[in-house]
Amino acid sequence: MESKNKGNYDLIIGGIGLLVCIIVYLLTNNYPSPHVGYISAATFPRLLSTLIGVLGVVLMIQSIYTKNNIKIQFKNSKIVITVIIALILYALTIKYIGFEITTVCFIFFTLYLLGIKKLSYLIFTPIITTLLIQYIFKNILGVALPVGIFSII
Amino acid sequence: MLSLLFEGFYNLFTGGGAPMLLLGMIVGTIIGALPGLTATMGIALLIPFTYVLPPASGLSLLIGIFAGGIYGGSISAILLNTPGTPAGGATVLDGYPLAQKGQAGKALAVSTIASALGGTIGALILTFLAPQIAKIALMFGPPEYVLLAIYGLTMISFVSGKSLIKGYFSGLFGLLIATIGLDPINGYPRFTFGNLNLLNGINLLPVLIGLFAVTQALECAETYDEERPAQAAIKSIGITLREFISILPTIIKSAFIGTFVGAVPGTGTDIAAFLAYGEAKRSSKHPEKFGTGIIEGIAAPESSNNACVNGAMIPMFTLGIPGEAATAVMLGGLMVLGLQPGPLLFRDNPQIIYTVFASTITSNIFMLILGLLGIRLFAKVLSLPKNVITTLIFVLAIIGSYSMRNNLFDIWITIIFGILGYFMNKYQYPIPPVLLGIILGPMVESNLGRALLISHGSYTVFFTRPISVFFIVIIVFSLVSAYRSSKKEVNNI
Repeated sequence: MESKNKGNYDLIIGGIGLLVCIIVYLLTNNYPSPHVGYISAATFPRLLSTLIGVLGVVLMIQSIYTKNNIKIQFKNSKIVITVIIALILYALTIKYIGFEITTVCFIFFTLYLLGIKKLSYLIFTPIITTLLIQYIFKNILGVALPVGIFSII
Repeated sequence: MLSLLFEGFYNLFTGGGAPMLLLGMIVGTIIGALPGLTATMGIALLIPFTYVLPPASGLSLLIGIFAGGIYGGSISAILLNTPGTPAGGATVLDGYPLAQKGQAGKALAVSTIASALGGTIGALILTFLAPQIAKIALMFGPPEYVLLAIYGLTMISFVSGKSLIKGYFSGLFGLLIATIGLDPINGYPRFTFGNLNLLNGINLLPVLIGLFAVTQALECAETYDEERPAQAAIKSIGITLREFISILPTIIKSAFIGTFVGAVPGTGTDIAAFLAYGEAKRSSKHPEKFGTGIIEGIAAPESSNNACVNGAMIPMFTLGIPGEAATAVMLGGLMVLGLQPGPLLFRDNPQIIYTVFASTITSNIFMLILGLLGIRLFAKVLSLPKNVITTLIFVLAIIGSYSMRNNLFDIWITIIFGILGYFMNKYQYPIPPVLLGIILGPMVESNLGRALLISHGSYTVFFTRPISVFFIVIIVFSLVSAYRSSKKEVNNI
């Protein structure tokens, strides 16, 4: 499950920095000149993006010159990617299905994914945690948690 | 001043701050004790619980988590040979060997007493020194604030790890993120792409939770199959009076080292702990015994790292610049509570700030009681299934970020920054500079606009005022010393 990637990532990240610099310049091109004060809405972002661009070039040159490829170690990458997908699905569905069901499903799935196989843990942890979080956030903190389809009931 | 402090104690115990402090200490100690979870993450995760509280109580909760988290790190350092937080790194050196000799209870008692005493000294220095610094800071005008924020940004050099360029790259990314939304001078929307959620900029809380809680939970998920080391058994807890007297000078000296290290932005509790350990060993009559399980080796780092917690709050409260990750997150918490950190806090909200000082002092008394009476209970926490806790962090992060504005958009921000933080760590781009950039960016831009308005567009305003010149000198000094230490580090590799 362990994978080691060796590559010139700084070259790519430096390139992204340069790209960000160009995009910021293009996006701020039509910003109006200041009607109050001496700096416009574009001044600060342009200053920052210039510095990002310069550092991007430095990173690129440095990575080519030193050829110091970083070893990136990904352990259990499939598990991490699955957790990220589960998080995205959780965020996508919470609006439509509501807090309770999505949270119970998310906790159950993540626990199972992270190697919890004990049935009592898998059943009781999602239910108790969801109820507890609901009580704290809804009743104590006064948060209107998403209700989704239950809003019509 | 003393009357304000007494009023602070009164407010703490009558205004609901004390129970929040105690709760924070318990939660913080548990989080700190669990390897892989840091005090920084604890603060980020619990900020959503503070905004229904009065500001002083909310801050007491955060202070409790910070102090408890740093103290909690020593429990796993002693019992598992794994520091719960980086601050506990030096405690492992003598804590675990002493536990292996069957004296885990003594090691934990030394850690508790040293942490509480060191923390108290640090808290007293904070209480009496911070208002004096704030008085000076009240003389600042917009040009000084610009330079102060730039000085704050130079701290990126010290939290960048191995590569300065990568640190600055991260910091500039944070600064650029902070420009999203209405520009502070002319009110023109920038990089919002028609999204109303972005008009007021990216909300700080979801970013904090994403970068510090989701990132860490993803890292815990990555190591979900790692076995936990065997735990040392606790027999009797406590030390003799003679032992206490023998470590007292070490505790006091380390507390001063810790507070000073904490007060210098760019350092941290881990550096404070190692420095104090090194000094205790250097000045000891029997340095060869360090590392074999002697109580001075536990007292020094524990006194220092808890004093450092208070020292780190000096620049945070007085100048509004965070020194390291945990105080950067605390600063974010202050903003979420509607308080603007900096000298105006002392002028406009003295009752809150003195309640906070009372809270920092009281936290050490709670630590002593909790540590000596509840240590067996905290040790049990170490056997909690790590993967269940990881799962709960994900849920608390998502719901916590949503809860501030009841806004689903904030959940996406949390997830995006969580994933970003995870990959940044992987590719060795430090995370704290992003937060420094996001916090200090608006301060630089808005004060730059104001300073230029005052000077009618002339940049000389930054070089002609005495305090500005002072800041320019320390900015240059800070950059040069960062460059030197980074060069030294590269040469050492």
